[in-house]
Amino acid sequence: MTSQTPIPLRVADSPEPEGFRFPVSAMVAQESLCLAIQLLAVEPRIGGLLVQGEKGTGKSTLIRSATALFFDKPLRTLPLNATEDRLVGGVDLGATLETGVIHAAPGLMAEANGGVIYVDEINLLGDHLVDVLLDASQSQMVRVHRDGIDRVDQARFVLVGSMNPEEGALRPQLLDRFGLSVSLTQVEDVAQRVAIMETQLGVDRDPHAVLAQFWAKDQALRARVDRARRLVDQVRVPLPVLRFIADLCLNAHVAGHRADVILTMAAKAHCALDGRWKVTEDDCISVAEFVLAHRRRHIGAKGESHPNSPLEEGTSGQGTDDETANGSGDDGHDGDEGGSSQGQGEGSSAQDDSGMTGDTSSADAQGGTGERDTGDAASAPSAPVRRDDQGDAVREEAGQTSFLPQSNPPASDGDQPPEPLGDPYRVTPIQLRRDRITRNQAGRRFHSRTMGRQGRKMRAEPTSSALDLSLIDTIRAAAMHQQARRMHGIGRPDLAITIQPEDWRKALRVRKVGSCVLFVVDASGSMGAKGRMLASKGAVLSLLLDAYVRRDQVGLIAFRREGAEVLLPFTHAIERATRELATLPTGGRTPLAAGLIMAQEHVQGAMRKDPTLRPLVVVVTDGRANTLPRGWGDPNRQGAVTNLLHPPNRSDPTITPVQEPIEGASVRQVTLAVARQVGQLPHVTWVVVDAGEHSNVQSGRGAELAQALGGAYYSFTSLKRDDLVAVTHSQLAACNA
Amino acid sequence: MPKKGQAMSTPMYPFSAIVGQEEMKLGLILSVLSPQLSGILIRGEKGTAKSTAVRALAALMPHQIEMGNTPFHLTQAEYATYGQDLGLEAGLTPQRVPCRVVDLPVGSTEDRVCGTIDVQAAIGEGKKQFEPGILASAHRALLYVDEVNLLDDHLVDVLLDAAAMGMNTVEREGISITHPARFSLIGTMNPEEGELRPQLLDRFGMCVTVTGEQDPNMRVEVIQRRMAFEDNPERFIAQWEEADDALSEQIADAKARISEVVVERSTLETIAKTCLDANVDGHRADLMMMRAAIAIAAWLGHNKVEETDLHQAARLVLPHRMRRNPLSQIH
Repeated sequence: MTSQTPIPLRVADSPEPEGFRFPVSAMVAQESLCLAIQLLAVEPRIGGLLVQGEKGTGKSTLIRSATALFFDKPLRTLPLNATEDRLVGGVDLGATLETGVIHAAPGLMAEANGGVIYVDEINLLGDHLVDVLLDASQSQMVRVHRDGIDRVDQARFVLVGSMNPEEGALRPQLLDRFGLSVSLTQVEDVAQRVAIMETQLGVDRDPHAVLAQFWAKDQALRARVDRARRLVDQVRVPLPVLRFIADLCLNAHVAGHRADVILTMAAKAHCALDGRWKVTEDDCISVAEFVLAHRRRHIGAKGESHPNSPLEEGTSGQGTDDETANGSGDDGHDGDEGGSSQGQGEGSSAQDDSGMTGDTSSADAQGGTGERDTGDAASAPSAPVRRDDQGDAVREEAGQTSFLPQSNPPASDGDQPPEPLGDPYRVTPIQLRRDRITRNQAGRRFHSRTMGRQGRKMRAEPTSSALDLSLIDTIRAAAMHQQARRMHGIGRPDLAITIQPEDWRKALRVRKVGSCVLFVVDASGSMGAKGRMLASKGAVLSLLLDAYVRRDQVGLIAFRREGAEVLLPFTHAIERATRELATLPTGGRTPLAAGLIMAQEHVQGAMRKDPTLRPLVVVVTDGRANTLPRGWGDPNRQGAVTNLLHPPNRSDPTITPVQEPIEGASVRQVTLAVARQVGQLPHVTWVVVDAGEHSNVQSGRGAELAQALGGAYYSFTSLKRDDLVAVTHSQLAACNA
Repeated sequence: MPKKGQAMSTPMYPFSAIVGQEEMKLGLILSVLSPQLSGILIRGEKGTAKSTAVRALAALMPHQIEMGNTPFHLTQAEYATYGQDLGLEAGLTPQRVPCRVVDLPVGSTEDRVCGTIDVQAAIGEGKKQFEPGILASAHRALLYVDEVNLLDDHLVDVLLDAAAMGMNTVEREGISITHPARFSLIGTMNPEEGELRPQLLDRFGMCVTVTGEQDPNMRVEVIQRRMAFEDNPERFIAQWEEADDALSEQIADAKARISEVVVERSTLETIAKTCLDANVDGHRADLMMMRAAIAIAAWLGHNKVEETDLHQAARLVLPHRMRRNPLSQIH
């Protein structure tokens, strides 16, 4: 059935032959990253490099090529799922079993002594591994004190991490550990992009030719690094240049003196690369951004952190700033603006993005893009624009969000411009209690047993499966039977230890896991009044920061006008949530019920995917519901409402559907009925943050809503105070009991 | 050694008998033609022949050369580099074997995917031995993940890691091993069940959305063929064998031609401009669009990439990469 024609080997064979590394000198427009790696190769004491960049900017390709070219020891990759014993060192299985005496095996950090450890997606690395890495990179030693082993190995390694900030930010302590940081952005220049494609096409088709083409250039780079290595110790830094370095660091408001020291080392390395003996101010300027970008703190007029860098505030307890999170957030924003201004600049009749507006079905949008890409890329899209008439029915497919870009709809009547984000403050943690459910995700919301193989070993228990055995515990269990077994001739005589299935032990591990927090934000017109929206955004932002630190997933739903919309499905990318929040406009009526129903939908969807999830839903509203989901009570539109309350393909026996509205019931009554209904959702904790002002909060609409949902109630003031903990603790304890 | 995808005992619905769904079929064929496209994501409702098409594809796969009959499916060069470290015996000879479609069940455990220490061998024989996982079998194959959006986060991380490196590195339980793992990822998902992480989404070279046929005549055709298959699979398969063979031959021919397809500089410029215009992240879109256009040209027998090839490539490559504008509309 298959063709008999032999396929030429070079086609069917692997596209990139083994040992192929993309030539460093063939990389287009990545000079800064290349330089940073050279600096590390010349002066490893700089300590590490963090590479941030959007997906598809060639981070890991260049890192692997450049470290291979400039370092003598091969790069060691630390996979995200590595176990702690491999990183630190543990029992040498073979030797231990053969001799019956526990033999230690060095871990990856000790093996990488003098070389490079590379962690891709370092922002996703488990905390227990991060701690170990930090500890070793600080002390340059790795100390193993576990499983009957006690040893110290030298571990001087250069840590290179790469990450996509979209996936979440890095802990500030870890950030500061990286001597240098580089941000990669995509190349906007057409000619350079063409060059990138041409090189890649060459590699796809004949990698050997590309290697040969760039070999000499790569070798010249390597020779330069080698010369600099010999030279660097003799490089002198004149006093005025040291002053200059100190000034640079002071102006960047860095914390502590680490930046000064690293900047000096980097400047020396730069000078040595250039083949000189005396560091100049230009050397310092050339490397300053590498050292300062992730350490710079913005000191505003008020002596506070930069207002639009929310993540930095919430995590700045350590005195370092999350500059990168801030920077990348800005980047994304700029990118978006660039996109739209481009469309206008081209003078096209239609807005550039409008082809993707309106209908969110991907099939339609695909058609649209197909037409967009015609030869003349600048031409205006010819795809039909189907703009929903504003205030059209609530999304029938609750929980579905567009995966294609949508343009900003022209501000329609009644819309107020988005309120700025309020100043974030620290909220005291809303904690969920530890339970006995074994979970699989990472995070810091609460401790949980984990079925994964990450986390700290709590204890060992017998197992019938030979997978994931805790060897040391297994040997310990077998130890007491050795004599008896030997007497009865059980086991192989050539092994020192005889292990039987009844000895098998597996490790039970504990780690903190994140939860998921869904924000349901009222964006109706009434929220625009009296700075309520400003305060609401401040509250949500503060809770987002809390969620960020705890590695929660967050989601964002807004409701206004006639319905609700999922602005952000559950994600770890808190930055995106922050961006969505910042641009959320207010206006229109208050379809609170629609918001609650969509929240229920979304949470149920997430729990279907992971039944161990214990979501927290935070509803921020003034509680003044004044409209029902479109079509409610209208006999002609019953379909839409039924759809909303009993969405298709959503049959969950645990939820009894909301009854059809009673004739003549008020909006408030129906909304509360809906609230009581969704409040029944098992394993979900509801919290209402009241945006209204009431002389007596207990009688306010917010309190009423909280009561109907069976959830906790906060005003903005109580959210800021410590009493939040007490209240929520008891609340959640009750929920979990 | 498990060779999933070829040793199916149940009869498989023939690829060429699938009615309509032309874009999905094209995308799947392109994934076979050009492994550098790194696969395809198929979005769509249930019952739109997603899984059928992927499984049927296995029968059309061309052959490739691998060294010996090992669980690692190495090329000659890889065998020279890794053979010893992986404990493979010396002197294995090249063999012609069909390409494979390997399944990654959503509920897989991490050690099943990455491979792990063979504890039984360790305890029973005192030998430290690596038991290869799904990523090893997926090397130079199509890795099929049904319901990819339901994949656990930590498995997604593992997949992303391997996809980024083209290698699977295992550092756990005293095992320290690296083996090649380059695969084309074929995922299906029902968007109603939740979206995909952007990082994973970007890994799929192409994306198509399938819907049920709207034309009643076509639907009738679907029913008739399916019923014929259900009633007598052997006969149905025999009826379509010729068509499948022809398709298979066509794939092999196109694959042989693909490296001869000419790409003009102006074509690359159009690609770059289009991707900039579409506001995509990074450079992967450019590269994927270039590769897709080349593969389409090869498939259609064009000597150089033509404008229509570019259009088709854009439809497959761009939509899932375009950034969602944060200023989205609120109803």
